[in-house]
Amino acid sequence: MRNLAVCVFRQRLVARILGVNIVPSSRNRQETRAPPRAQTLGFERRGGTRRFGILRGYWTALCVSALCTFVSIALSLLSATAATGKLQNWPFAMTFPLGILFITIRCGVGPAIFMAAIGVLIFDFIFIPPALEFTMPSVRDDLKLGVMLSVAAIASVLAERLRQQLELARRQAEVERLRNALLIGLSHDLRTPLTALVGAGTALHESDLDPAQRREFSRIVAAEASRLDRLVGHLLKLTRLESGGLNTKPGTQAIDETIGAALCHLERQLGVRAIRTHAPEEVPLTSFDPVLIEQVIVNLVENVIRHTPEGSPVEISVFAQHDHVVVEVADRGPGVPPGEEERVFERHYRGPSPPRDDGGMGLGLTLCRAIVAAHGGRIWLENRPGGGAIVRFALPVEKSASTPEMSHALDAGAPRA
Amino acid sequence: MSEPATILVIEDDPHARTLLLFTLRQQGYHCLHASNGADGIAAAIKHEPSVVLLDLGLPDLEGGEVMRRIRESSRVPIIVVSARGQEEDKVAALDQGANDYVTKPVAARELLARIRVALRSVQTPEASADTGILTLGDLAMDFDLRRVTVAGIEIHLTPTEYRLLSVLIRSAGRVITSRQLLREVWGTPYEEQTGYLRVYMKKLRYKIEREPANPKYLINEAGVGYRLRLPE
Repeated sequence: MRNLAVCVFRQRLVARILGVNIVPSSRNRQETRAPPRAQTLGFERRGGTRRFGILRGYWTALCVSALCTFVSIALSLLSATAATGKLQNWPFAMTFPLGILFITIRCGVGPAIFMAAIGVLIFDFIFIPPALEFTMPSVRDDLKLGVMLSVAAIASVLAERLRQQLELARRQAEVERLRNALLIGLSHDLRTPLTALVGAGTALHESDLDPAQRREFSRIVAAEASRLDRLVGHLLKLTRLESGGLNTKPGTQAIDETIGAALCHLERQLGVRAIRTHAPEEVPLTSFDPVLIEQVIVNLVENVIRHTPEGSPVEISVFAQHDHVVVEVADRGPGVPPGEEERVFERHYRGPSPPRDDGGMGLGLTLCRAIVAAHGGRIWLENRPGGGAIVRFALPVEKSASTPEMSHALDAGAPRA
Repeated sequence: MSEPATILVIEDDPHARTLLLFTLRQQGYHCLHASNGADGIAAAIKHEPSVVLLDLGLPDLEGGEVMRRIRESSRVPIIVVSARGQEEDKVAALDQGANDYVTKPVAARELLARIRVALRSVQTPEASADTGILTLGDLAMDFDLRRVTVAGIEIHLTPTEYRLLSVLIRSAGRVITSRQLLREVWGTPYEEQTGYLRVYMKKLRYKIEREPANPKYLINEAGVGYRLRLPE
């Protein structure tokens, strides 16, 4: 028993140092019937890695410092025996900045500066005579240290900038890929409702039809026209996604407001369906393009309407998790066949039993993914314990969100006439 | 309806115009129409319609110019009916003096609802609403006592929240742009501070709405502004 506890403790410690949260694999999770909120673990693992990633960065910096020190001492000893018998400091001056550069690229500026500071101490301790003692450096040594530190600092800044650019480029490439896939398909899709419209319209206009046929053809015209309207709407949303065209200002959007706007637009489609929303007031304001995120919510709820029996409820919740705002749309429909949770976001995926004639084109979720990716967020689907599916999307909250406090000052002022 | 209201339709596309006129006449409205800006302005001044439906993409004049010229001599409600659906277009039209904005393709129901709101605002001029009690569904605002109740329960509002709600309730049913709201509640220097508006609208929603994320009254129009919804 005690051994087990020690083992678990050790496992946790190692995991903590390495920056990994211990998360049961997805298969285990399904079997253990985790409580609903625990389903978000898949997300926590990502957020968690970043949180512990900071600790991990400093830990790596420490390890690399030790390695650099060993290498430089070894080189020093080698060269010392060959020449004067005195400890040389050039190997240190060479290996340490290299190590700092490595740390900057892998772990960021903080750990790199931390390592530079360690470097100064080690340099002082080992290489500045008297050796193995901390001494106040002379002007010359001062200069050496200064140069080393500034090289590290400059390299840090450059590497950090490069990292950000790479991240941005990666995100843009992802959005671009999704957008192109959608665009190519959409322009083709437009022809389908157009064909039906031209056909039905011509028949109504030119042929002798009995009243039942007329009714049927007018129904086709109306249905195909609204399908065309939806496609054109998607096309317009796609043009907004073009190369960083996101209309966002930091900390200026309330997610509950955007959910409300989406539900208002869906009012007629929802009919008698019960909608339950759960949006705590503490969920912070964040930045997103309200038109696009409204489209994401509209698409998700439309999907529920399309794939679940009439009268089956829709639940929408919002919560803040780490540095993200997470929105979830849950239903009590048939869910998705296990293993296809990712495929639903592919273009033209329409599920194992495509629903009734509803004008769905298998576009909605792909567009959602493109929009969320453009915001630097993530969207995923899970089957729900007890039946149904949950689609969640997470949007990052930036640190400099506007504070309500600043407007309290205004509120305290005298009412304007 | 005692006497049919007159609606002026300014639209250059013949099909769209035919359908609009058909829908309106079916509802018993008396209709006038013009196919370009100049004729539209002339008709708006000469016949004094109750509502103007205006398309923005006219062959001779910009929609904004038509609105400006009509506004020089008339306070008739103008509803823009346009294929331009971007928020910037909506905001520009509303700030230029349009009372409402609907995007093509527009559902007949939706258009008729907006026309009813516009006609109602003609019957109850905004200025007179500073006193008395205004009731919308279970939301009631007593302007004399500066008291707001929801389903009979008094809601405590800060002065700013009260001002915000009173601006919205006075124009109930139609969209007010963020800029207009900021100007009326905080003053012209704060016109661009959408952050304030977002914070206060959120507070108001959490005080007034039973389900803030599925609101009954305080409706947001993404990127444009807010609308206090009239109960059906």
